[in-house]
Amino acid sequence: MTETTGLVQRLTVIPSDSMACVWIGPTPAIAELLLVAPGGENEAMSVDALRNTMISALVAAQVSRHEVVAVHADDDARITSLRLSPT
Amino acid sequence: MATSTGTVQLISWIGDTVVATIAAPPLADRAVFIAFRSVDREPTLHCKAVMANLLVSAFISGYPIEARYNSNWEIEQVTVGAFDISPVGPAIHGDFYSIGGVDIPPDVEIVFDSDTMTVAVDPDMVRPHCVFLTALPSEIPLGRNVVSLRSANWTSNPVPIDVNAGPPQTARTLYSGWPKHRPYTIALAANPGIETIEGDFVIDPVMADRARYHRASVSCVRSLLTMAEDLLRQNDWDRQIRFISIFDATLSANEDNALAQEVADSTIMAPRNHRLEAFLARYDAQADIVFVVFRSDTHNRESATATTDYATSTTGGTAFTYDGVEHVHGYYPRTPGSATMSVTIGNRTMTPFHEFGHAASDYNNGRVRDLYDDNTTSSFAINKKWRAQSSDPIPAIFATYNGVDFPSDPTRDGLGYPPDWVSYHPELITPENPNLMDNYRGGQNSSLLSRLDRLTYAWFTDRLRAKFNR
Repeated sequence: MTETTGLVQRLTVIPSDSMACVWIGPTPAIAELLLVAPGGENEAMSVDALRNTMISALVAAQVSRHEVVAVHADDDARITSLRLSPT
Repeated sequence: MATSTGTVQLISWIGDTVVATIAAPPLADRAVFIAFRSVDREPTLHCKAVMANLLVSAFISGYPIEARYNSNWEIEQVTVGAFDISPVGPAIHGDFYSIGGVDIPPDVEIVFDSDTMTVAVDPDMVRPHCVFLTALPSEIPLGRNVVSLRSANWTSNPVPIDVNAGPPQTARTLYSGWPKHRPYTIALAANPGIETIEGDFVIDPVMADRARYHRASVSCVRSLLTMAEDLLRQNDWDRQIRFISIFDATLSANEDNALAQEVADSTIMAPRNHRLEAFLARYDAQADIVFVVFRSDTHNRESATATTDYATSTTGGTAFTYDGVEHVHGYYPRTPGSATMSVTIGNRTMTPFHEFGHAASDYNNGRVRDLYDDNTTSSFAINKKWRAQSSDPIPAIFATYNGVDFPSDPTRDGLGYPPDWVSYHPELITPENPNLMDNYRGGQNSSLLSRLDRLTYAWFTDRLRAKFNR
């Protein structure tokens, strides 16, 4: 797994796809595009609800300039877990 | 699909809709809405709820949004952010403050605008990708401000921030570094305790002087990134380096917390490098290099300990040859390199870079040694060799690194070899100034002009590239 650490530079919510695009990095020009997106067709609603709290946390981190640590697979942009770090 | 970009002026909940009014002067305000329909799938409803929360956050924070909406003015997606600068962390009086950006000009100032006044501050350090303030001035009004960067020919976007009185953060990111797994990280840590020669643990006086710790920390960063030696900023590499600070005034002086120790029969303070990894982990942090900032009246001389990288078989590495023998630039440190740094260092000094030279080298695959003495070592040194006799000639070729011959410095430029020395050094990049790993203060010019030798520079360039690309 990969941990991408940085500030939320930009975040787009797209309800029709039940997903959010989030750009994480040190500056607006140096940011990694990651996704908060459904994992599959038969996903439980509890997972969906949890994922939406993740988007809310990313928004809160963005406007407070708080750093986040997004965990995802090496070859997949979908965020599987998220930490708000002490720094 | 149309787009409206601006700040959220009003949000209303009306029936099954959330209506947001977006102001983007000089254009007229635009009312757009999110509709919660009974036919919507549950995931869509969840996501619409998140989007409504995003509008609320934008309304409260003053952040502009970009709303895309259909011909009925129903929002189909919302983006928040998209500034051209990036303030790092909360704005707290007396705490560090830094802002990331792109192509930031060197004459930039940081401007804080509030309802009552405008405060312009000169940064303590400027690089094209970031500016640092040692401490956020208390003149900046508490509460909502808009911060921007301004120079003679450029002004950034204004970013809303909330300034508060404190206390300063215990752990703080100064610059996030490259958005990848474990970017190369340099940590600055105020030393909670000192292990004395007698084996006791005493509180380090630096913990009572946070302001001075801040100044010393920025001085370290300034030394690494802004002086004549460009090792870390070549190819804009410093954009990749993560900088963090830890000042934890709650810790007592004990075996676990003491990060520095007095060295007997000397004035040297040494890092307790075996404690660093566990110390950093408390703050969800890892580092390649740690500067331990301390204060002592009796042991005020800095020292460093080289990094110990993981074996290649564990985490990988990049092979190199030195005089025909194969070695490895390891990707990850098992024990980070470390240096003590007196809180009394000046604002502009090469001492942090000199100690970085030791700390960033590797215990097992090449150490970068002091060149101001004739001391011998049994470990593999990159930048120092020894003749059998001081009367023996200095070889023309110092070493062959990755198939390339690097000349020796036949005269120890700028200083001269004492006649009884057997050690000798590689050729300098700037012969008019002493080597940064030598007595760099002893030359005719400013010590700030001192650089590494050609061989060490080439070796460090490859070593750092291996770590940046890991």
